[in-house]
Amino acid sequence: MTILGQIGAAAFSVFIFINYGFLLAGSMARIRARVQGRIGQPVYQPYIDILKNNARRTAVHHGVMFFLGPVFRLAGGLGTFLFIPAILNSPLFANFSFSGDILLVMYFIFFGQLGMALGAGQSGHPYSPIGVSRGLAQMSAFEMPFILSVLALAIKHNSLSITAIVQAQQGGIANWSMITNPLAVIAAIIAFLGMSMHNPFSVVIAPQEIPIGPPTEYHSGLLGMLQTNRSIFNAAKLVLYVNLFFGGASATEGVLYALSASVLHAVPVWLGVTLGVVTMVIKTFLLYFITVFVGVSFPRFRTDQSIRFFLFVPTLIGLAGLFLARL
Amino acid sequence: MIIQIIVSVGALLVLIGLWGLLTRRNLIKMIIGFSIMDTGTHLIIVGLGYREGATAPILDSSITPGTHFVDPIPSALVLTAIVIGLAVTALMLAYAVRLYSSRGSALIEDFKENAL
Amino acid sequence: MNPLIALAVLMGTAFTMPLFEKAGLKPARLIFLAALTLLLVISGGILVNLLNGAPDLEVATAGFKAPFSINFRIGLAEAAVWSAAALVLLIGGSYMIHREEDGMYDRMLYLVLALGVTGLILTRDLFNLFVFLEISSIAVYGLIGRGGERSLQAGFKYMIAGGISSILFLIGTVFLYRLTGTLNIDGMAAAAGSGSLAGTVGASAVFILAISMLIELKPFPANGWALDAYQEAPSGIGALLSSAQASAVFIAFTKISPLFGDRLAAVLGGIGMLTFFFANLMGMRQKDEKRMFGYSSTGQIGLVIFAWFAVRGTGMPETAAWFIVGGLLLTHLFAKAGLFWLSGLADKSKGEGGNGFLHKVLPSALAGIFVMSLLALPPFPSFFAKMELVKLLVTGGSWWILTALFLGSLFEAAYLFTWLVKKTKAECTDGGADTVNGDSLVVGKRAGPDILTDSPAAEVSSLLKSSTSLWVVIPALALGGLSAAWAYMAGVFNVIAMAPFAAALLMLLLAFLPGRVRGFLAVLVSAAAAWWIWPRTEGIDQIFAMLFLGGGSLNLFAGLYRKDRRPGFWAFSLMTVLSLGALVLARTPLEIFMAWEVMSVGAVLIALQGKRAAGPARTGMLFALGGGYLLMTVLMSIGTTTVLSPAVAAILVVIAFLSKSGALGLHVWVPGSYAEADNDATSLLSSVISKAGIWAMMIFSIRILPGIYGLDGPELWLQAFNSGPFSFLSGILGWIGVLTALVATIVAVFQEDIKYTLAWSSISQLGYIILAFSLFDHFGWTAAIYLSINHFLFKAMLFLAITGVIYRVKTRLMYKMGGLIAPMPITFITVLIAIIALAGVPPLSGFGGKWLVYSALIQGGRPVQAALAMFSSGIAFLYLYRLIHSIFLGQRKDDSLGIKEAPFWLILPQIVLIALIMLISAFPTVILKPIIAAVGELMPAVIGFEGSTLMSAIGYWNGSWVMYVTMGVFMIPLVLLLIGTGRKTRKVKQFNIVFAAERPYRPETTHYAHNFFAPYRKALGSLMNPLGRKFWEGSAGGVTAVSSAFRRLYTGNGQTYALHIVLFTMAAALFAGVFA
Repeated sequence: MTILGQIGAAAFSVFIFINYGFLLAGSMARIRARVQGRIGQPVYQPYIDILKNNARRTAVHHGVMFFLGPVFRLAGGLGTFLFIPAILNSPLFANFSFSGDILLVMYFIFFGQLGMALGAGQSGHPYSPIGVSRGLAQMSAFEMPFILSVLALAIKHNSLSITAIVQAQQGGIANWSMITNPLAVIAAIIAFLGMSMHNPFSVVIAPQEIPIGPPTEYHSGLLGMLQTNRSIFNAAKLVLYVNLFFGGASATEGVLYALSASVLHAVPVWLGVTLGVVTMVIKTFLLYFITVFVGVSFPRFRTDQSIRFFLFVPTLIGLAGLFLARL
Repeated sequence: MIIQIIVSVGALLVLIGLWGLLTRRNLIKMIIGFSIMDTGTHLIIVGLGYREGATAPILDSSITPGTHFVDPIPSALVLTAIVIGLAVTALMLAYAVRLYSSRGSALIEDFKENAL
Repeated sequence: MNPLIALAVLMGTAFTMPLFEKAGLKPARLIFLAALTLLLVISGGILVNLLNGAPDLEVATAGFKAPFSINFRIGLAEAAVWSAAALVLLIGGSYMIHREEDGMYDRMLYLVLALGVTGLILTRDLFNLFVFLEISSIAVYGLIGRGGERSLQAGFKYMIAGGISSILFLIGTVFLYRLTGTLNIDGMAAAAGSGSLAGTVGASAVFILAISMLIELKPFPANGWALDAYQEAPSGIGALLSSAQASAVFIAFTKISPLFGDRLAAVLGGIGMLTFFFANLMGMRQKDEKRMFGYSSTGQIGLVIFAWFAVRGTGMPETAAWFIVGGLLLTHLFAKAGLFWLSGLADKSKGEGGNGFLHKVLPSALAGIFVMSLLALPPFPSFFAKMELVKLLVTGGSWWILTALFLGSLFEAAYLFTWLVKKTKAECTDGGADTVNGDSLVVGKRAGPDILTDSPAAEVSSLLKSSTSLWVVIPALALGGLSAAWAYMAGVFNVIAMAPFAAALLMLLLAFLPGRVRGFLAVLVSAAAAWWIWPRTEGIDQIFAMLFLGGGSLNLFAGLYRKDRRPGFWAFSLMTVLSLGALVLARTPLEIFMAWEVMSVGAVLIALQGKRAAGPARTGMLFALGGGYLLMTVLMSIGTTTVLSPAVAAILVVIAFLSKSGALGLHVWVPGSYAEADNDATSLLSSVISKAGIWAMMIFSIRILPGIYGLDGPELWLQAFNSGPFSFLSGILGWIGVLTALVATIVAVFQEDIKYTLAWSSISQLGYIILAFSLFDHFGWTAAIYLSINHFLFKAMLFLAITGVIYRVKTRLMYKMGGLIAPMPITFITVLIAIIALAGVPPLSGFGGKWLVYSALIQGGRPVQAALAMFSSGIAFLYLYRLIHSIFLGQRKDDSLGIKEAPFWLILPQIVLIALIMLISAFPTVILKPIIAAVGELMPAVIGFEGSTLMSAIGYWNGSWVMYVTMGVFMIPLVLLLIGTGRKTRKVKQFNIVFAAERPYRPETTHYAHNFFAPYRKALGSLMNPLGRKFWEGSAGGVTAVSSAFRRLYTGNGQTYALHIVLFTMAAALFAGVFA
């Protein structure tokens, strides 16, 4: 594929998953509202928010870094997504995953967070660094079980390449990491709760006490950029998790593919890719549902509590998973 | 035989002097102890140079080939040693006087303020 | 010329001094000095003759040949010590005349002392020896007592001890005469050879003689009187007592030593070592500096005695023996005399209303030379001598003695270095560094460095005025000459090995030039060295040489931002940078050790230039020296395959290098030294010099350590580390590395002082490098080297940027800063890029390091270490964000409103570094290909490039594409912002924030910066327990307690001292088997 082709494919892939991210956020908000006994917002509310925010005039700023914060953030989200192969065996959704392996993705996640934290810092609002302080502290803690589970997979499959890890999980649910190394997956899921910043780990953006944590000073177009990132970044994380732990989605394999293959003689490429995307959507939706489920069920940890939490039981589970992988 | 006696007496004097040096607290008495040691040493030196039945080592007409005379070198040594001992004793006494006049005390334990 | 003339002239002048005194003070002094000059001329002439190959000079007296008369013999050793003593006597005479009251009797006694010293050195007749001993003793008694009432007390105690000693001497002499029939020492030795000293009487006589001479040499514990004397005697007399007189007695002692049997020799040698150990142990608690020098003197003489008997036992040739003994003795002679004089001069100048003068350039340099030479640091003769001595001990497997030697040396280093620091630094009265109390850390007005307060002209003129200060230069010059001679004899007198010293000397000599002129010179020299070394090295040598010299040059350039003269900084920085070059080029064990020692001591000296660096630098010095001793032990065991087991050798080497790199447990000196050093110097220390430990570990792994056991070879050495005798290291080093990385990172999170943050960060980064190194495979070492280079880049950027910040805001506490992005945008960009790189965030080069380390660890089967390393790199974000936010973002403080961007001199290196880091980020092949190739020459390659993608067995990374993609996704929103929403905005004022509809009160209350990670402290603060520091402080406390306990031995009572002598004699007799 030519460079231009690659860029085009990446743009398409980003477009699909951004929209998925919007819809996911909208639907989850609605589910949450229903659990709490409200009617809730329409599923398309995120689109309205984005449009509204971008339509508004951005009147004031606090300096260059303040401007660059959301840019970093969005670039971080896009980049993270682009370094992950979204659908296996589909050049259209392979993104730029040839640039690096899982280590690259894990560290590129920080790119946006760091830039955002810097931008927020320049706003001069004390709540921003407080939120950043909490976020960083919590992040460093939930990294531990996540790292352990990723390493468990890397050892199990003797590869750090996401593509290779997904490939190794093809051929039925029995090959999924979820089954082959349940401990690692449990650790990773707990880490995911921290990553998603829902309850009980929501103190970072602290919806009650601190207006919205780091992005306090951001408004209109800049805030829109942050919201856009939230959807793509969410999608990227979900895709990564599904790839690593739940068999990913393939354009040439899988239950849906098998079903359509049993109906059609030859599954056309476009259908295979579509089925892959659908598989991915279903899996990520279910995965995300876990966080929502936990989020509406539990109260909130203080930062120091969540640090101690992550570094104790989930870390031990992760270690156990690591040893399970080495067996 | 006489050599042993002289040397033993000398050694005894050295020990007595040493005992005095170690037990007397008065500076002057310590110096006296030192002098006794010195004297004992001189006795030892002279004693060791002695030859029984020998004459003085002076070349004069009484010396004939085959005459034994005492070893002259210890005698020479002892002279030097006496002179040096004298000098040291004098210096010690001078110090003792100076110390006494500075402090009004001649006890050795009153002069230990520069320890540590 | 006949040496008898010297004796005659000295005696004649002494006794005619009253006559000259009648003619006036000036003629009397002139004659006095003339006599001493003549002594120097005669002794020097004889020395030159002997050096030119003349045979030993025999002088008979009274017209008869020995043994019928007293005879003198002057060999090279005698001539050398004699000339040295004469030189010291001449300077001392001048010192006495100019600096202390010189009565007629003082001059007479002084000349008599010179006479005694000369006779002691020259005579070969035992009784004559006694006479000269007494002559010098009486002179010393008299001279000691000149210092007032307390010195009288000391003199009296000295006399009691001397009296006992002389009586013993006489008794021993006369018995020996009786048994051998001669007073000639050589005749006695011959008689002893033929057995006439066998038997109890003979043995007792020899013992008594030996012990009487030994007492004159002030052995532990029978030396309380000597310490009192050193303390109370005037400095000038202390100088002579310690140098000329002690050396002369020692030479006399060596003359009678052929009489000693093996057992006696062993006991005497043992006493020497005990003296060295205990004197230095007790010196640690000493406050009075003259008494402290006294401890050091007795210790040094003890060491010389030990060395004498140690070399005697091996039967090595005369020249080799004197190479060791003479090296130690002559160094002590000049250095200790110089120290006593300097201390006396400083006291005088204090008395005249000055504040001491040792903090000025020349005196402090002199004091430094004297102390460093006593600590046996290169290039002084004592260094080479001690090396050889250690070699003897290692060869003989005398581990306990070696331990005592090293511990004693460390103790001595502790107190001498403390003294040096205290005297040469004007401001260190305010105790240790208090990092919590913010106000005390304010840097204050930039008044230039401590050791230079006058203008150059005033400095020179004040030197010329006080000619005695110049006199003290002479012992230093003598030490310099001796150094050259010893280096020549040791075979390291070449350009590469000597360049660091020459550079330091040059820089100090040019101290009168403006700072920037010398700075430019230093940069030029260092850059030229880099240029020169490039074609002369290859492989990893070349990579590290460029890191050391290139990086060093860059850092030196940054040092130009300060206009003041900084004599110490330029001298020691250049010395250290050049010694790094010498280290890379060194091949023989001696060259390696020498360069290593210069480098590690140089680093401490650089750190020492900081205002409040005294305490940390002292700790650093002890670690540098201690590590050096371990290294010396291993290097000296080369060629003696059986003495050290491979495991022990490896552990010693590793401890040495890890203490340099600051690995956990051995790190205690690092944070303080880095933090308290001058800000630009910290950059040099952290970014460049800290890599020396890594390089040395590699070189020792490849060549030296396996070489000791014959395992050096392309395949063999690697095998030795992977499955052979050294394989245990890999795991241990790995855990040390990862724990260092983790704990240091966590500690860094909680620092309020920016320099402490970065210092701990350096420690943790070194932990990663050690971790990568510990893999001992192609992947790991590639990672280690890549990390080293990266650490250089981003840590230099950070420290230089921070230097600029501290220079402008005058504080090191982060929460006192804030909002500096506006006045210092370039510095901000530097810090931003550096922290992105340090954090390992793609697309910058730091990620390459992370990728390499983790992949290497996973591939090497160490997932737990990989996980911990990743965890700690996550924590690194915390302090990095805190750093950049607290300084550059948030609310700007009122007192930083008027500040400007950092000076050009700091900005330019930062821009170069940014360019470099961007280059290797976008094109990792530029740097990784050479590294992979260089490491590939050492071991089988397991990673390599396919196109621009770096492939390992388990993963891949294409740095260029990561850069392209990142740039792409960064540009899209940026362009959107620029053409869209961002266009018509305006920047609001500082306090215009959504603050509950209120206006914040003050920036201080709005800038969230102090105790930034409070929850983290609550959760993990317990990990901050400074176990390492507690351990070392506890050890130090234990040592000082023991030191205090032993010091109670010295009650100050002259009678007790006499008792000590008696008991000591009896104990020695017991050990020597005299009663058997």
